[in-house]
Parts: sequence; structure tokens; C-alpha cells
Amino acid sequence: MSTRSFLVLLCLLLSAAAARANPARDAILAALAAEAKQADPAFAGFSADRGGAFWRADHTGGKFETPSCTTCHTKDPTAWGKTRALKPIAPMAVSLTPDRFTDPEKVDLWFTRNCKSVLGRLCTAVEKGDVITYLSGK
Amino acid sequence: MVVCAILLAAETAWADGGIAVPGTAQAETEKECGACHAPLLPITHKMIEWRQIMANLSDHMGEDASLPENVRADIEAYLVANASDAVSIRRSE
Repeated sequence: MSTRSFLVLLCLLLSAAAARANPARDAILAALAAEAKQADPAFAGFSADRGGAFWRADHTGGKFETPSCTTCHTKDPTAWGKTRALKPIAPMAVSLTPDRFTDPEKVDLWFTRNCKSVLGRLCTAVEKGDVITYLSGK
Repeated sequence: MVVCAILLAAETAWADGGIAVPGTAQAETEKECGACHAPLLPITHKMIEWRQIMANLSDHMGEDASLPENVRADIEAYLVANASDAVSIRRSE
């Protein structure tokens, strides 16, 4: 690899990291971590892998039409999704939509709605934190 | 006449029943309704229809479209005040 392409790659990686580090998102994750710890003292942090598996999984208990996060958001978090009323949804990947998970009210509103649709219940703090962690790395 | 002018000049107008419509209600409506679908103009429904729609957001065309109560109430007030059968005082644009 030439020095130039190395520098270009380094800049890309740094800017991607900068785009993902966000105090508001960190605060949302910290609050979810505190909630998770309270529910289970053995809680040892969020997992992007668990979040990805949850994101892709077909769940039961929710609405027949929406078994998975991917029903509307697609399996690829960097792709545009579509609401059931066919409105485009910007990618959930934080690298592409940097203001994802930075507004606590919006995060709360959409997890509440979508967890009910997909799972027929509210999501736990661990589930929410895992999904945010997964999408923050995408 | 004077009263009408004062009301129209004010930041809020009153829908039927004396519900205040905040100046931000139109923007809230476009933001929240527009998150899932092209928002309909208030004039496409009657007052009673908007009230029914806004009273059943947890099952909105089969979707959970619930909103915080303050936002829900603002949007309903705006839609009702500008509904197809809304009378007299309209929000000034």
C-alpha cells in the first residue's frame, strides 16, 4: 500500500470514528446501561453482535406483517428502508445518518412503537442498547 | 370584527370547543405524520374524523403511531381547527 492510500484510508477511518462518537448518543447508551445494570447486576455491557442478531431475527408476538426490524429497514443497515406506508426511511447505520440515536425522545418513541409492532412488547434496555451499539458500528 | 382581528393576529386560534392551536402545531403535524406517510391536509377530513383518527393512534391503519400526549393534542387541535367542516375561526397562515 502506498503512503498516499494509507493516509487516505487513515483519514476515512478517523472521520468515520468521529462521526460515531457523539455525546448525546453516549448519554442515551449510558442511561440504558444503568437501566440494564439495575435489572441485572451481572450486566456486562452492550454487544454489537447480539444487536445484529436481534436486528436480523424473525420475532414472534408482534404483528404478523412486521416480524423483524428488517421488514421495514431491510437486512442491510446501510440501505434505505421503507415504512409500511411506503415512505423512505434513511439508513439506520450511524455512519450514513449521523444523527441517529441522538434525540432521547425520538429514540424512546420509535423503540416503543416498533418493539410493539415487531415483538408485541416493549424492548428491554439490553435489547435497545445492543441494537444502538450494532448500528453505531455500521 | 375587532375581536376577530385580535384573534387572527394572536399566535393561537381557538378551534371549536375553545381548544388552543399552538403556532407550532402545523410543523409538529408535518414532522410526526410525515415520518411515516405523506401528511394529509387538514381539509381532507371532517372534525369528527380527525378526532377519531387522533384518538386511535395506537392502532393507526394497523400501526402503532402513538405520540406523547402533548404532541398528540397539538396535532389534533390543528387538524380539527382546519378540518373541512371547521367553522368561523381559522388559524391565520
